[in-house]
Amino acid sequence: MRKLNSIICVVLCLMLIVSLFTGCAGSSKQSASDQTPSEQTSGKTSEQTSTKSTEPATTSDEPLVISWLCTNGSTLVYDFENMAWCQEILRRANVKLEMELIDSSVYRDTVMPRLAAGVDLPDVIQLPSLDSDMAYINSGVFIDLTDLYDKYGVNLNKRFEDNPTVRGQISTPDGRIYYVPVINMSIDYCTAINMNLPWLEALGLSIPETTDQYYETLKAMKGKDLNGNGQDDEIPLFMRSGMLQLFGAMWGLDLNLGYTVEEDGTVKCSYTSERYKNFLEYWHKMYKEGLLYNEFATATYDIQNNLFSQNRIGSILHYHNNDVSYSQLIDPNYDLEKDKLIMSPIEPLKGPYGHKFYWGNDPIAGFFGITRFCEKPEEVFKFIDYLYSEEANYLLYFGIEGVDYVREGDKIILDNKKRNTDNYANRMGHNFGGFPRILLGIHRDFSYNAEVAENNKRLKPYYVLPIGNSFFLEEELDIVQAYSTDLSTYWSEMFIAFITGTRDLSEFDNYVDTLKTMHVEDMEKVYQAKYNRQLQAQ
Amino acid sequence: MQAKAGTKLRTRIIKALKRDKYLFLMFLPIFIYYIIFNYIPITGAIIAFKDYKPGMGLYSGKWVGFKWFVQFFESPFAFRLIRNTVLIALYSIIYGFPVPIIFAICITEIQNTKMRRIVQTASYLPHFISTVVVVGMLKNFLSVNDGIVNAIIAALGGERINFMMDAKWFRTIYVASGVWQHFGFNSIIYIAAIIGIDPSLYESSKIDGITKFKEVWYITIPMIAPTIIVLFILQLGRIMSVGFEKVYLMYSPAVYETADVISTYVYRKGIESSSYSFSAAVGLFNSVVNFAFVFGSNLISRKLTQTSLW
Repeated sequence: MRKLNSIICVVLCLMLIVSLFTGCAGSSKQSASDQTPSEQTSGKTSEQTSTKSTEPATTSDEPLVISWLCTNGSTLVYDFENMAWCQEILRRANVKLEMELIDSSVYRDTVMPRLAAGVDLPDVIQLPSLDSDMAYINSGVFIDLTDLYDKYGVNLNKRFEDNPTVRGQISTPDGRIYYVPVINMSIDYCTAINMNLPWLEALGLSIPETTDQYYETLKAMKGKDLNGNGQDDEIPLFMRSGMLQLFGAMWGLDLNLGYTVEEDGTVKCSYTSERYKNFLEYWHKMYKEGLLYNEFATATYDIQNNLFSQNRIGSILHYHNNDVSYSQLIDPNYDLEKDKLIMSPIEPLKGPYGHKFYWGNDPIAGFFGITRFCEKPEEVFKFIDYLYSEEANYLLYFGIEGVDYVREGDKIILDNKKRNTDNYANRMGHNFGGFPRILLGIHRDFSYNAEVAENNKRLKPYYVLPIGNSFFLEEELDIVQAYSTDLSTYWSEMFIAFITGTRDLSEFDNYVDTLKTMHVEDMEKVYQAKYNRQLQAQ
Repeated sequence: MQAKAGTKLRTRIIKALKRDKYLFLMFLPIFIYYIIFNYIPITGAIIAFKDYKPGMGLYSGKWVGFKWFVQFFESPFAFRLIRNTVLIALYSIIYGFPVPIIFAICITEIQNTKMRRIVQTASYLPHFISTVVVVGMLKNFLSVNDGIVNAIIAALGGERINFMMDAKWFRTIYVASGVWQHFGFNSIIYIAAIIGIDPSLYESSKIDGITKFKEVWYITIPMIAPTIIVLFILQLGRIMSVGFEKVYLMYSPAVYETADVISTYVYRKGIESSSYSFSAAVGLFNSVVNFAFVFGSNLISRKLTQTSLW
C-alpha cells in the first residue's frame, strides 16, 4: 500500500510539473504577439546636425527626482539599475528616476486601468497606446506641453526640423502638443518575405518575383522532404495569428489598419475592394492546397520557434532583421559573423494589380506624457529634451566614449564583438525602451550583422508608409467609437472564413453589403479627413 | 408598542453579539471585504449613464441617458453576443451541474477509505490549475498537426480536425474542459451533504430489502435536494457572466461566431478603445439579467419546493 502511495505521489508530481510547463508555453505567447514595431527602428538622417552643447537638465547638486512608469520591450530581464549607459545619462543630467518597469506583455492591461482611474499617477508615463482617439488628452491626465516645447525644447525642436513629418503627426487638430514621441525616422528594417534559401537551391528554383511565381515556388516545396528528416512535414509558408494581413501590400491593401489610400488620393476600406476579393481567392487556394500553414489563425510564437528549430518552414512574412534568430534556430551552429543567413528576405512580389512594395514602419512609435501630478513639469521636460541631444543619443546607442566606442573624425568605431557577446549592449541599456528617444539608421546599421544591413539596403526602396498615426477630431471620435469594433470584428472573422473556405467567395457581395450597413462608409470619411489633415500639416 | 419591539430587537441583537462574539469576529473580514469590493463599487455604475472620461473622476462627465445601452443593442452583434453567452452558460449548467452530484454519489459508495481519498484528491487537482495552463494544455492536445487527440483520430483512420479554428467545436471544448476541471471540487459540498444523512434511514431501508439504485433515488437524492436547489439557483445567477479569461485565451477571429461573448466584446470595445461608459452599461445590463434570474428562480423554487435562498 505504501508503495502504491509513493507511486501515485510521483505520478501526481509529474502531472503538476507537466502542466506547469504547458502553462509557461501558454502565457509566453502573449508577450511574443505583443511585440510592437516600436523596437524596429532606425533612420538615415544625419546625426551631426543636432545640437552638441546641451546643458544637463538641472545644475543644482540635489538630483531631480522623477517618478517614471514605463515598459522595456523584450529586455526586461536586465535590471535598470545596472544599465550603465542609461545610468550615465541620468548621472550627467543629475536626475534620479523612481522607476516602475512593467513587462511589455502586460503593460497595456496594467496601465490602462490606472490611467482610467486617473489618481496617484507618476510624473511621467509611457502611454500604453498611441491615444489616437485622444481619450487621455481629453481626460486631462496629461498636461499640454506646447509652451514647454517652445521654451525648452531645444533638442526636440531640432529633431523636428530635421524630420518635418513628425510634428504634424503628433499635433492635435487644434495645433497643440501633449506628448513626447518615440521617433523612428526610418521606415525600413520592417517586414519582408523571408525565404529558406537552401531549400530554393535544393529545388533549383530562382527567387520568385510575382505572386504567381511565389505560389509555384511554394507548391514545389510541398512534400519534398527538404529538411531531410524522412517525413513529409515541410510548411511552405508559416504565418502566425494576425500576420497574414501583411500580404495585403502586394494587392496594394493595408489590411492592418483596414483603410488604404488609393491612387487618386481617396481613402477606401481595404476589406471591401475588388482587389481584396482577388486576395481572398489567392489565399483560399494557398490554404486549400496546404501551402499556407493550417493553423495560421491561431499559431503562436512558441509554435513558430518550434517549427524553425526543426527546419520545417519554407517562408515567413515578418521583420527581416529576425533572420539571424531564425537562422540560429534552424542551425544551432550558425555563426553570426561567418555564415550566410539561412532565412533571407526577398524583394516584394509583384501582385496581380502591379503593386510591388512592403508596408514600412510608422515614424511615431510611441508616446510619453507628463501627468498633471508632476510638480516640476519644466524641470522634467528639460530632462526629457536632454534625451534627444546627441550626447544622450550616443550614450543610449553606442555607450560610453572610450569604453565602448572611439571617434575618428566623423566616424564612430564600435567594438561589435564586445557588443554582441553575452548581450552586452542590451545589458548596458542599448535602445532602452523606457526612454523617449529618436532612432536613426546610423544606430541600426551598426547593431546588426553586415548581411542584415546589406539586405536592408536592398529592400529600403520598397517600403511605403501606410496612413500614419495621428489624432481624431471630437465628432470623428463618436463615429470611430461607435462602429470600429463591430467592423473589425466582422471583417477579421470573415477574413479567416473566406480563406479557410467555411464561407464561399460567392457570398462576397453580401459581405460587402453587410459592411456597408455597419457604416463602413462613414469610417472611410473619417480616415479621409484625417489623412487630408496629415497632408496639410506636411 | 413599536418602541417596545425596537428595544426588544436591540437587546436581542446585543445578546446575540455577546453570545457569538467570536463567530462575528471571524465573519468581520468577509463583511468588510464585501462592503469595500462589492458594495461601494456599485456606485460607479453611474458612469453607464454618463459620458465618462478617464482621469476626471467617476462623477464628472455629462449625462447621456441610455445612449450606451442603445448603442449596444443597435450593434449587429448584440444578438449573437447574448446568444453565445447564454448558450455557453446553459451548456455548462446542463452538462456541468449533474456530474459532481453523480460523482459524489458514486464516491461515497466506495467502501475502501484509502481508495476513496485518492480518487477524491485526484479529482480536485485540475481545479487548482490556472486557466492559462488549462488553455495551454487544450491547445497542445488539440493541435491539428501535433496534438495527441488528432494523432489518435488519424491513427484510427479519421480526418484530422482543426479544433481551435472551427467554430462548431468551441462550445464543446469550452464546456467539456470546464466540467473536467471543476467536477471534483464542486462535488465536495455534495459529498459533505451525503455524509450528513442519518445512517438510520439506510439501515431501516436495508431491512426492507431495498436495492442500491432505489436507495439512491429514494433516500440520497431527496436528502441532498435542498443543497442541489440552492447551488442550482446560484448557478443561474451566473448565466450572463461567462468567465472572461478562459474565452479570451481560447478564442480567435476564426471562432468569433460561437466564442465571442459579451465580456470579450466589451473588452475589445471598452478597454481597447477606451469607451468605459459603454462597458459599464453592458456590465450593468448583464448584472440586471443575472439578478433577475436568481430572483426569479428563487421565487419559483420557493413556491414549488419550499426550498429557497431567502
